Amino acid sequence: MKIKFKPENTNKARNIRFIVYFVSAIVLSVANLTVINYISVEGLMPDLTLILCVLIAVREGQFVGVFAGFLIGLIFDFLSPEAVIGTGALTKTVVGLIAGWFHREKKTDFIIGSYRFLLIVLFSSIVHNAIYFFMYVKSSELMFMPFFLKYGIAISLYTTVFAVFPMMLKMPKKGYL
Amino acid sequence: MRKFFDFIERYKEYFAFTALIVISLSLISVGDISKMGGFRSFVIGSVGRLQEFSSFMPYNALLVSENRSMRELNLENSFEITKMRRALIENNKLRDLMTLKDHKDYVYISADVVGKSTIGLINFNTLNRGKQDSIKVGMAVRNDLGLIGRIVGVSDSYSLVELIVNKDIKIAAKIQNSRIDGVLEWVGGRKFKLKNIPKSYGVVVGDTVLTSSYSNKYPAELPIGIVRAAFEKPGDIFQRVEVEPFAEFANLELVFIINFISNPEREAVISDMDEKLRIRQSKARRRR
Repeated sequence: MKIKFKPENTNKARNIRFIVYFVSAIVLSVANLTVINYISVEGLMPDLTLILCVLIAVREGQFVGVFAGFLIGLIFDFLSPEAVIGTGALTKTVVGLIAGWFHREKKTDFIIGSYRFLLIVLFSSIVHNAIYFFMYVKSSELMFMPFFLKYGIAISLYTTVFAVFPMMLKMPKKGYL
Repeated sequence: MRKFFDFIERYKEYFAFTALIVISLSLISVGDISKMGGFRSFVIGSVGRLQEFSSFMPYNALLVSENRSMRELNLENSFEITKMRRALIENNKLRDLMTLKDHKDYVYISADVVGKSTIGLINFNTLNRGKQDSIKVGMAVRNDLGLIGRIVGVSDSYSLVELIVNKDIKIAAKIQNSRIDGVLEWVGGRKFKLKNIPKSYGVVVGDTVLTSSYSNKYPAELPIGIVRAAFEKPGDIFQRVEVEPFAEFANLELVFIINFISNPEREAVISDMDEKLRIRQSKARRRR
């Protein structure tokens, strides 16, 4: 007899999920600062922590999403030597809020497993990069729009490509019994 | 009161969002990366060690961009080296010219070669100096290395110099060390022949050949070239001496016109004697 454990609704399962999110946030932040350099294209790198942030917000809702975004951003700010602490926290909080709008109770796996998830990641990433580059450009002589169009959009697209992996994990399997 | 809590409960996401944004902005405003606390220093140090650990993996994009940068730098350096070499050559040339001016016995008028032409196998160069610069027909021309030729035509602003690489030109020359006199003739390419040197005279390869004071066309003691070979031919009373000119006639740029014309009285005596000899020779031919 096969026992199927479904921890979705228990507090313990919820706590385990949050611990997994926290560990994932640290691992992905470190990965973003180390090994992701090796897949950078013309200096552009995907933002893996943003995908995690969107995933949590879509899965857990807007309220958890904004806190998750804040904490993920803060972790990344702490780990990143160049970052001004608070910038990542601010932008990822916004991402948590935006992605949280697309949260639907009992439909989370369906949303993550569909192309919608990619669109949510793309949209969130564009807003995230717009805010991030606005703050970045503010202290320099760079023009915001050309800089954002050149780097912000490209990074958003590259990040969206990586969002395919969680989407595929949640995609409904066909042809298997 | 209950309504207030309901309101907060209803819009808790936005209240949380606002609070977190305020906290983030506060962190940004007080955040100064130059003042890293102990914990952050430790974290960044640990991440740095991880980055160092992961750096053993070859990073293709970085290598490509580094390679491109190196190539660009190499190209720039190559341009710089070419410029520096050119400057060095120019510097040496100018130094030679300065030395030349220091040791001059004549007045030199510098001129640029502005044109080159060949008329009936005779090579001419056009110089940007003319009558306005006191240039006269008959003046000798040299560069920093040695004798070049002689002015054969002058206009107001330009002059024409006939190069010594010309079969019709004969130059009274002498070997600097041994003071042996001879007549120098161009035999083609970068080769001259020093004629009328008796076999008994010792000619050393490497000796410098100068213009002789016997010359009525060129000032004395002007360097012409260097002895490259000296050998005897059976049945000939003179030895064959080959001379290589100092000057590179193919790439003349800056030359000096020597403000010197041989003494007119001497010229007159020589031309008078030439005339008398020609008349005597023609009379002798008629008698025969």
